[in-house]
Amino acid sequence: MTVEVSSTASGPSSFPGLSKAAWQDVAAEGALGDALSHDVELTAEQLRNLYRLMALSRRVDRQAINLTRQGALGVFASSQGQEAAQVGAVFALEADDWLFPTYRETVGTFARGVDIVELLALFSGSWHCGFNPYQYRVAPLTTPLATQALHAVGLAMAARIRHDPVVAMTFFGDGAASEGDAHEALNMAAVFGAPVVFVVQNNGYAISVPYRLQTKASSIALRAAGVGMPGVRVDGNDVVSVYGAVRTAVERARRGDGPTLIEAVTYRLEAHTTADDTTRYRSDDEAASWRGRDPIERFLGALREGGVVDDAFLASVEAEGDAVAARMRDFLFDAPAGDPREMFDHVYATRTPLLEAERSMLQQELTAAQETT
Amino acid sequence: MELTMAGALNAALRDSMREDDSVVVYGEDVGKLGGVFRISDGLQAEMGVDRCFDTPVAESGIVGTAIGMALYGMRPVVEMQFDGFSYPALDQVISHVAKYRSRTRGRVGLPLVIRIPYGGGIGAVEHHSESPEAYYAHTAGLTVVSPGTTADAYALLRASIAYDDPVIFLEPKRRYWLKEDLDLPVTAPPIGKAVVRREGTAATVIAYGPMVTTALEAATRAADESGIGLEVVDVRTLSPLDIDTLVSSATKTGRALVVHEAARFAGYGAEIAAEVNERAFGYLAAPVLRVTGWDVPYPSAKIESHFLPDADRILDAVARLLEY
Amino acid sequence: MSSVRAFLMPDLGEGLTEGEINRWLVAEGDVVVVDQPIAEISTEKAIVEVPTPFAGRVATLHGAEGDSIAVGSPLISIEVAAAASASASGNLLVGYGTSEAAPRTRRSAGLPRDIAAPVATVAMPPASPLVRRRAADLGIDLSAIAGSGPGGMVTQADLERAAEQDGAKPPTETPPAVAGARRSALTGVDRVAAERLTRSYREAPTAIAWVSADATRLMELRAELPAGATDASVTPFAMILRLCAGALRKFPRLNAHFDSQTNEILLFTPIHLGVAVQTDRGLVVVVIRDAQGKSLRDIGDDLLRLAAAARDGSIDAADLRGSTFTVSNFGAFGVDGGIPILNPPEAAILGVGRISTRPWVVDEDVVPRSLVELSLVFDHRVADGGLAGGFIRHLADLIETPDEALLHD
Repeated sequence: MTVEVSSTASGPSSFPGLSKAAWQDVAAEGALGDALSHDVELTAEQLRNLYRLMALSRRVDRQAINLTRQGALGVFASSQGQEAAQVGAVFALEADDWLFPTYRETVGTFARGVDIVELLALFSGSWHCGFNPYQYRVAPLTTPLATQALHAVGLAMAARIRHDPVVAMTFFGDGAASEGDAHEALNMAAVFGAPVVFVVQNNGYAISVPYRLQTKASSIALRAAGVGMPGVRVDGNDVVSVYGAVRTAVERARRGDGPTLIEAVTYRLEAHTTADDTTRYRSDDEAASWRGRDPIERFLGALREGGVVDDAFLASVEAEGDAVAARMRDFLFDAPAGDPREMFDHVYATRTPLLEAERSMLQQELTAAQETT
Repeated sequence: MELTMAGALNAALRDSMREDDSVVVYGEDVGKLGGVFRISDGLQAEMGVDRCFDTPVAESGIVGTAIGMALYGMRPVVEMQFDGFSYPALDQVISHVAKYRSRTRGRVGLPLVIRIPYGGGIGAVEHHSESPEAYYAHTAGLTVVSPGTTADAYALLRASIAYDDPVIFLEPKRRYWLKEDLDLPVTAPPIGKAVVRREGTAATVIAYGPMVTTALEAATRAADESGIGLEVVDVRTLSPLDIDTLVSSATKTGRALVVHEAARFAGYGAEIAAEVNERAFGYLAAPVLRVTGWDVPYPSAKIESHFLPDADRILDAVARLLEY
Repeated sequence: MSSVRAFLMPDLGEGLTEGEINRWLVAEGDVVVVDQPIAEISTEKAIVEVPTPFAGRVATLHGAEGDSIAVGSPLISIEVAAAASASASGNLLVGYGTSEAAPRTRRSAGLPRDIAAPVATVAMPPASPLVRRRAADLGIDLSAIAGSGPGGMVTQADLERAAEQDGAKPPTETPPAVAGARRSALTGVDRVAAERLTRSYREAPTAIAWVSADATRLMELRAELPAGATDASVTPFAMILRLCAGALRKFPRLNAHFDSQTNEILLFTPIHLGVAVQTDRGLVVVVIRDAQGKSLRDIGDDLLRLAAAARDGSIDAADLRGSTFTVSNFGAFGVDGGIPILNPPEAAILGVGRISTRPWVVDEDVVPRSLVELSLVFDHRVADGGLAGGFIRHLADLIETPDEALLHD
């Protein structure tokens, strides 16, 4: 009996190169086709930027874990190992497009441009969403699984009604795909032809529950056939292929041809969150095996081979990483709590009489506390 | 002009859509059919399928997409076909609709309306006669409105659509055919204000939604049969509650009761009773009483009249109040 | 210059309260860099490598391997370089709001220090707050009322019935509002006085006797008093008080109380004269004790002192109680006379008008004389017309020929 290396159904092991993307399409009858190769246009500058974003994301993720172990963040959900899937996907969006992430997409949202300190407010306990969604066109990191997929569909529907060439992208995982909202989102997007791209990161686990216990289907991409939209399965650890597949879907949506479901097969290298213990449900060998196929290392190898990067560039990326990490430490370690009275300020557009009264009551408690200290 | 409540709601939707093209109306069967109660009758024909449309049977999806639409700058007015079918959307309502503004520190408000026909007394099968207002009223971040008159149905729906915060709009379906002589557009006190529907001095009857008619019926009987003058207060907005108007009335009469169809235990009436007791303590001759449905799942049609509060039950409670 | 910073044990697992040091990865004296793992901490959920947030030299390890450190307690102290400690930019929270910082803890105190335990209400009958307050206002004891409301509660109707029986005015319908009326509630002393007067007015069957007395000689006598004999206090009224005390010695039955509970007359030996004094807060009855033994001067002084004290509010409670007979000075208002209300539970009250010059008949001639009206209101259960008339006639005589009575102190 062989040890299962991955709980995901075996996916395409691609990496055709820096200008080639490979993925499998779901046929109308509901079967996955063979992996086909597609040309991808990425300039050297774009390729370097892809690497830079992945490397910085990894650095940020490491720092966030450290900060969690130092008590600066209450908890953190790592995306180590999923950089190619998240960076490759958001790289395909234009400036006016919207992103609907979950708590797992710190990499994707950071790569989209959200300030890292504002982004981590959810985990540091300072505020449930520390950034302005309208500033970045990124919805708050959502926790109830798959619920934000419907928000993405709604926004896309509105954009279509308004005739705006805006695309909404949402991420969810293999676990979230079991939620009712995931199905409702896929179905409604297809019915209304909404310009949405669903990127499902199949990273093998929903906390401790492996893929084979999450669904009997051999691939999540197959659901697309069930709701009547195009479906794609791609190697989530191949950033160029992810970019190629998502870009195709984004362009399809933008020209009014409707939504696409993309399954990016990848692996969650770290635990579900820093409060989780992976030794209880998976072998260290399995994780080690996937670490050996690190998407960033893999991409870097190809970039070196292609002469796209040099040591000076790599050094600058590392320096930038150190700077971001230092900023994270400066702002997040020992950060003060903020004003508790603010909890009354944004419940409604205007504070109601009840909230005014309660705010005064808290103010009295605070004043009394100040007087006794 | 004689108008039913259903007609008033239809007019409110139409007038709002005409004035503001960011208003979109959708839900199950609201487009082509015009809604199972005809509340959205004629809207798709007039405004087009982009402004008024049908959805798959997906309540969570209806509310979830409304969130996305509101995020984009639209004013979606969505329908939950019946009270008992609003529950699949509770996650979206409680986890997101109610929390979005607070979560984003005030940067994102969701100007959406969720219309829900509610309440019993229509001889329906299971799940079509629920009174879920307590779940919504208890959720911080939601505004909960329930008209009790045809005029208010028009005015409060228009106000809810124009409101910058999300509104749960509870329509008393057994009163859909309540006729009033109205000339539209009619204005009324805003969201957040309760109104004294009938003045009196003997005791205060506090009601909302379908029970406003019942309370007024009880008051008429009390006056005609016993010469007792009851004051009837229509809550209109369950959250945020205009407690001052309620307390003012209870202070004046010294005796108060609240009536609702929903079950008694941990019901909305408990909130009113607690607040009035606390604020009017020194002026009350009697404790605040609650006249409610029983603490059972809503029963079948043949016995629902024994569940629902009626004028008799209200008058029994008034008699108890007067014993003090 | 360097400083030592303590790294406190963090909560490593969403609500854990402590962590056990599984293994130290550094020793005291070691130089460490930021994020370098310094210990393996074992929690309920996992074994976690904890990295240091500070760079510098390890100063103190706050425990041995195997020790449990509470979350929030120091785990390791690091001596950080000055440059390193200054490099921290301070916690400018971007986008976190800039309102003044609130303290982290709430006050720990519970009840205020000077709080008093509530008066036990166990023995009191059930009644709504409204009924309780009205009962207090009416001076009615709730426990004396049988409640007919739910659970034996004393209802408004019960209270009104009890109030009627008690003789107090039953509460009526709220009178229709008259535009422009301003309500002013009777409170405190006024309320009590109003209640007592109302009750006495209803209970006691009173009659009146009056007489006009020629006070000419009284006035002459006053003018003849040696100067320096505290003249200011020896007012005509004080003189009449002195004569009244004398008159009461002859008619002791008027120096009495009537107990309506027991239907008894209480006769007093000492004469404690109550005198109604007008103050800013209304009419106050001050008491000149033992007037029977006091000289004119004493009485005058007492009255002056008591009146002043009553007016400025400094009067002793004892000086407002215990009168056996009361005198009401209508003259102070500049009127000829009046019919006072008994000061319950007293049996009689004397009204004294102003001393005014009027035509009078003396020896068949009409001459101007100083006259004063005296009126006696008395409780007919205690005295009859003969007694009352006799007293007031005698007092009038004393006023008309005061020399003997006044100068023989």
